[in-house]
Amino acid sequence: NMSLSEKDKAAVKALWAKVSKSLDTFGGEALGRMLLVYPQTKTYFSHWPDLTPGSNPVMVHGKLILGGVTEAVSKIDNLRGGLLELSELHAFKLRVDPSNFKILAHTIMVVIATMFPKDFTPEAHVAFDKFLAAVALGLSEKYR
Amino acid sequence: MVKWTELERSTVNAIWEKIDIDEIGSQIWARVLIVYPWTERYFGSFGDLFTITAILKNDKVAAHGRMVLKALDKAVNNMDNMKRTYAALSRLHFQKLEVDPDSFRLLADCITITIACKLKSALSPQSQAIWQKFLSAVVDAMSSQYR
Repeated sequence: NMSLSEKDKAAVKALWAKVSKSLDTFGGEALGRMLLVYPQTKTYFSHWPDLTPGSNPVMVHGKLILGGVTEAVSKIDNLRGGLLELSELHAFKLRVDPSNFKILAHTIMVVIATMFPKDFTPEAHVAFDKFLAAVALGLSEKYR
Repeated sequence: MVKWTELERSTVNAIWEKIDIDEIGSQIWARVLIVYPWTERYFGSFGDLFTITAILKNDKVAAHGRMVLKALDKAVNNMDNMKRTYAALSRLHFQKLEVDPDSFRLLADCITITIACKLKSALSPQSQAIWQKFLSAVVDAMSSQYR
């Protein structure tokens, strides 16, 4: 487990403050890209009528997921403890294979890069990559 | 062998045409070393890689990035023959350079993110899907001689 330094946490909070202003569209963009770039992820959403980027279910659910990331940013000092409820949801109800957290993380970062290229410096990138990996660990906590 | 549609070929080429190897190569390589610092194990001869600032200023890092992108150009121009195009390079990375092929996946992700910074919304979801399919094929070709 690669823990977050104070510098990492500051970088994550600064970056997310910028991203949060576009949360309405950002989440849907990230989720839509994930479903398209990694078609195997569609297996979790076969109950939706439309899985294309920009569709209503994608935009609504994307916003929900990104809300979860915002919550994780607010609990950045204790991700393992702070994400227990969300972990239970993913472990027992959704039963999402944890390998998908890495996939979504990459897609989130691609969207950040397209929307905030000047802010997504290598320093911000490594801090955010570490953060999303820590979030993934927190979400996996209750799996077994 | 990977099959490519006309749309996929033209998308990969359209993205590649927008990439200035000199500009982007160094950025990509710096990002790999900064985001995945354990990859520095292969670059003991590169001098100062101890800080982010040093990595960003390092001439050898920049030169190496340019060299790698020039090699990627070969894949863009040989999409139907990637395994054959990269057979010798793959063997080199396995037998002589002893590079963990997982590094190729890390590099592919940094390439995509650096290009995303450059192209912004022009890297549409569909373009990203096609570009990553292309990079997966490159990674497979580069891993093909690890046996």
